[in-house]
Amino acid sequence: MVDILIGQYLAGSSALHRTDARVKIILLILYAALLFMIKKPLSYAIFAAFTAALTMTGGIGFKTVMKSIKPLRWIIIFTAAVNLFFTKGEAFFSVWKIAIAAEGIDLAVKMTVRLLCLITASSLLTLTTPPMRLTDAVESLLSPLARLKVPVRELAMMMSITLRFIPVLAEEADRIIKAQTARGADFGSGGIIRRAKSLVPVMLPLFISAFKRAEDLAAAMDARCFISGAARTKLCENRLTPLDARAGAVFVVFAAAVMAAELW
Amino acid sequence: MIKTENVSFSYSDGEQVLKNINLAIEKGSFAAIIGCNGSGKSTAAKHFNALLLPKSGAVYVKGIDTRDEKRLFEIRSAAGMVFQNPDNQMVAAIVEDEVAFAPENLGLERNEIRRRVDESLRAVGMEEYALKSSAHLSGGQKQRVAVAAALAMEPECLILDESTAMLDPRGRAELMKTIKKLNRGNNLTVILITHYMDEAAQADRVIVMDGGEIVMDGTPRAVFSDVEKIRSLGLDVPQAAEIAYELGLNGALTVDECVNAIDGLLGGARR
Ligand SMILES: Nc1ncnc2c1ncn2[C@@H]1O[C@H](COP(=O)(O)OP(=O)(O)OP(=O)(O)O)[C@@H](O)[C@H]1O
Ligand SMILES: [Mg+2]
Repeated sequence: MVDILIGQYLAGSSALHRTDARVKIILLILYAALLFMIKKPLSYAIFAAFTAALTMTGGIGFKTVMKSIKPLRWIIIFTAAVNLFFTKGEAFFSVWKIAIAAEGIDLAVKMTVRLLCLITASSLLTLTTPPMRLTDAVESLLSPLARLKVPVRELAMMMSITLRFIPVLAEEADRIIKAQTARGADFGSGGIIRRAKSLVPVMLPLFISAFKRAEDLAAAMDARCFISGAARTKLCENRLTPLDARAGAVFVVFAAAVMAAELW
Repeated sequence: MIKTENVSFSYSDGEQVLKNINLAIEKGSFAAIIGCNGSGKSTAAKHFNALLLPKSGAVYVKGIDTRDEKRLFEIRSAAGMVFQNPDNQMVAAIVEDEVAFAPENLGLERNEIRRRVDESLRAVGMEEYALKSSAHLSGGQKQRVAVAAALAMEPECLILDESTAMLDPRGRAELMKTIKKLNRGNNLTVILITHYMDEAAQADRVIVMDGGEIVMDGTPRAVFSDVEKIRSLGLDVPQAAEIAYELGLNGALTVDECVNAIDGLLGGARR
């Protein structure tokens, strides 16, 4: 199996699993907004601690979290490096001709914590929410747009099918790469242009197979009475429970603590 | 249950893929359709649930003309279909949501959807997997879920278009057992399209297609005893029948019958 964790759900019954998906999405957005407003180191510490506590509440292991961080490691490293080297300020120390400012270190550390928190929190959403509930939640949150003739239901359907096919296509890409490597293709070396070129023989078969899959899926959906735009019912409706109120309360306490740390 | 009258069909490129097909499938029967690649089996099957409409002639499902757009839901839910590739026909990531897809489309009430999901999963023996992710199931299990997803429409007929083709022998046996149980126990009409002759031999009726026409139609015993004709169509006969044929013992179809026939032959020689 390919190590791709986007849209992968880990079944469970923790409080995090049982919280309504819409509540989780809204809280995640607020969380991200708050995360980009804070400045004080103490606030960052509170954020990191809160995120770790959430991870434990959801019964998600450290290894699983690492798996969702790993594909984004280059972005994290790049962001940290840019902040480290290009922040102007008093030289904290310098090696050879490169001067590193104290402000640079400060910013690099903060940016890294920010990204790690954000990635962890968003993967907690997909790890603890069944994909169907997630797309239902998006559909429900976007439903006011349906009045503006935005095809919300179809968009939600597309999103759920995308989530469903990501692992399938990832596995297929993996298989194609292995098959091409076995025939002497070289993906790991050369300049950017050469590397991009070497991806063509991977993307082409992948596209062709994706179209074939789409055709099959369309027939399978037709055969089961799917009609685009028709009203559907749902097996499980997202429903608010007292647990959701508690989730909201926990978040308010957390946000208040962060604000206090900022103003202090 | 399903009836076709002089059905002809061609895709947009114009070549006739189905030529004057006349066929009646009785309720509760188990029919197998065999034929070499491109003989028109899938095209015919897609006429049985209005995925395709005949260019001329007519198809009736439960007496409803498949061209009747207003009764499309009735037609499609009467004739459930399971396809070849288990991965390509799944809409949802979780087993239960997959099975709920059709009843959701039909706009049924939540309690009714729940009941159908539970019953369908039980009918294929997958109830323990209701909340599992379908990505982690074996091929045979995925296809059983696909059968359950069709059963959730409470169809009278189940059409399987090479649904065993991508499975390993164990998965195939699993699926065949499920289908036969549904046919015998629940009186579900089954139309099985297959390239495996030993599967076709388990049906009550074998329909052989070639070049868009029905060229043979009868009990497995009758069809597979004409070994020369079957071979001339580019097909095989079940292994047991083949061995019996090569030994000049016509009429054996199952392994047991073949063993008995050979035993009889050897016994005769010994005597
Ligand atoms: N979507 C399509 N457009 C055009 N021609 C098609 C299409 N699908 C099938 N055909 C053609 O129709 C003929 C019959 O195809 P069909 O898929 O019904 O055969 P089949 O008996 O199911 O074969 P197989 O055993 O390979 O599944 C073939 O010649 C095929 O090329
Ligand atoms: Mg076919």
